[in-house]
Amino acid sequence: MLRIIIGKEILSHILTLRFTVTFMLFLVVIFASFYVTVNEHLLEVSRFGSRERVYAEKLSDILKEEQDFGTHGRIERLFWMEGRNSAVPAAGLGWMGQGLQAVLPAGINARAFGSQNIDRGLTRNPLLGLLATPDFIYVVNVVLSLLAILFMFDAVCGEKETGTLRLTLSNSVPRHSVLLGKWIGGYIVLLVPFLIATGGGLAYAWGRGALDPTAGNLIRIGLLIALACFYIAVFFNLSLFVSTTTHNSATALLVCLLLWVIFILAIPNLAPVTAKILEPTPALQKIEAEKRAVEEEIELKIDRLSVASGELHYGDKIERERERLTREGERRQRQWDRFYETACERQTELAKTLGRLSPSASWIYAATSLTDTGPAVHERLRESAKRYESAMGEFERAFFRAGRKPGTNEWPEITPDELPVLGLTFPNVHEAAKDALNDVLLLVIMNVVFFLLAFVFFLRYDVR
Amino acid sequence: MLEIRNLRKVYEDGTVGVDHLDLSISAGEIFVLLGANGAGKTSTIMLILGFTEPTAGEVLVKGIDVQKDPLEAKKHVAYVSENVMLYGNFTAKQNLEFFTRLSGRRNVPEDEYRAVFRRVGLAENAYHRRVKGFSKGMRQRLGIAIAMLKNAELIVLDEPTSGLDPKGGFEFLQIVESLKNERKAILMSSHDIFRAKALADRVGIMSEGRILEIIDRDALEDADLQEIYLQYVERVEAGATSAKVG
Repeated sequence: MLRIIIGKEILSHILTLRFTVTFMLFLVVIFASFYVTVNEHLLEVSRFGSRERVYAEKLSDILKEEQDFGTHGRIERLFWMEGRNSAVPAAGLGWMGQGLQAVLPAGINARAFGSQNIDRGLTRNPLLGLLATPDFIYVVNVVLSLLAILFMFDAVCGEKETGTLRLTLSNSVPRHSVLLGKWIGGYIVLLVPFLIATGGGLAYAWGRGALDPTAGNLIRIGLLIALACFYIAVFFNLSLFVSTTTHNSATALLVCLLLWVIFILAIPNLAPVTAKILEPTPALQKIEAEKRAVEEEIELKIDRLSVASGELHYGDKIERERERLTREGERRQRQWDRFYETACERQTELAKTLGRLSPSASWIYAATSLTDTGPAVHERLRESAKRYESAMGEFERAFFRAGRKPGTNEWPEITPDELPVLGLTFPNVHEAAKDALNDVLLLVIMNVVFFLLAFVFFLRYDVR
Repeated sequence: MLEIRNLRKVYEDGTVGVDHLDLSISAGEIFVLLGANGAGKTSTIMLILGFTEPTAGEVLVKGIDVQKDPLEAKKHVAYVSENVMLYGNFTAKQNLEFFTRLSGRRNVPEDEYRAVFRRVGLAENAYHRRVKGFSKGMRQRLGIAIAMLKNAELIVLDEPTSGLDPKGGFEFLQIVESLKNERKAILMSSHDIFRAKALADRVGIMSEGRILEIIDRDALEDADLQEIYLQYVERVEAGATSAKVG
């Protein structure tokens, strides 16, 4: 019985103009999206290579610099003035979902006492930040969810209006079979053109060399497509549910579109702003001022200690005290850093939680976890930058501890290979999937809830 | 074939759809429920098809309680609505195939589809045409073809000739008559007194959810059905007015 209804659903969808338009739309939108993002990604990869070359040449220039007394030689330039630059690589599957790539710095500059982001410059096309890139994740989020709604909003109420539901149910057909048949049939009809178009896009990416067909990448792509199917199912179930609660297709369409606006546009976009209001973070300048105050206080204490030691005997005890004060200053500065980071983390978590009221946010979080362009990679880059900075500091201290070349007044040579690098690593498949798990579970829950609601309402649906 | 016992349906808003209805239809009989709009004809049919739950009473189709085992009961019922709306994008053939398979019949030969198609008076060239281009009369015929292909013992027709031109209505009733000859039990609702008289073995005059009188074939021959019907309607209306005044 189920197969008969599925077959009928597939046929009735295929024979509509809606299906033809959807098929064409998928082919055009998805393929255009792959075309744009793949080429953009290849450009980004090439820009990464150029940056690495430029940074290597600059480092080489710095390290070749003469180190004379009284001039700014290689040591000053490397440790305190210019530092070492490392480019931030593009994520391997960034062409499927840009995510946070556009807001990540182009590189990180590390010196002995701090690091800074190398931004992409004001010369960059500002519209790239202003308007969303229509990548795969975006297309699924916006276009596919809308089409899912347009496919299902009248599944039940539309058939009630035309009277075919009554005729169908006058036969010995269980209602759950009708509902399930409608669901499966409609889902297949929506999914097949989507998968065909996506397959074409992936083939293009592979042909252009953007898709590195490693096992890890293929698993990620498989998971991403499965997740997209799952995400579509949420909107399928949602519109099916709406269809079982209304008796008129126009009302159902209106309700579905309203829910779509709430879930796709309102909640995900309002969540970060709401979190900013509910969980504000202190201004970074304020934290810097607090850290400077700590530094000045410690310097003052050390100065007083020096003055006092001038009167007293200079020795290990005073040296230890100076070191203790320095460590205390560093500890208190770290506390301020930690305080700021915790506030930022709390705000981010709140924004994420609020956003998860919408399936759209869960899809984006989970999908960008799989493409390595989500918040997890942002966090990894922050951690890598910190490690990079501290490794540079460590290297500088070790360099000076080792001292000058024995028997000479010259400092030892430094080769690029000895110096720390940014060392940003992307999560492996297992880590990425684990990171996406919470959001996948949320999508599962939404699917189950909406389908059960549709099921319960359809069992009680008045077909008269 | 159809047994209705003390059937009552009160809707959530308090409207009485069907009020203590008792009815029995046997194989080879055409029973016409005659009544004005809102008399309770469609409510009765909806209860027979199990689309709504009765407040009291029971409906038995071939001895099967529709409420207790609706799926089993529906195997023996075919339904033709007032306005047969099929899948417009499907051809007549596709509609026939889908609903026939849905009724539980598999592997029905093409010849049988075509034979039934011809029997209901549809032109051969309409077989592969999309139903959305069909006139109401053609859709009604296709609806009865679907009911015939189901091979059910009870056929329920809800005002099937409403909106059909006189010729179409006459031909449709001829088909119904032929079904009677196949020992089908037929329940038809209508507000068309003349067609009811021409077709029915028994006519039940219905008003406010009740069958006020059942007139059998012999009585129908001599009776002025229109007068009887109007008398009942007027009596009911007068009762309603006095109840309001009281």
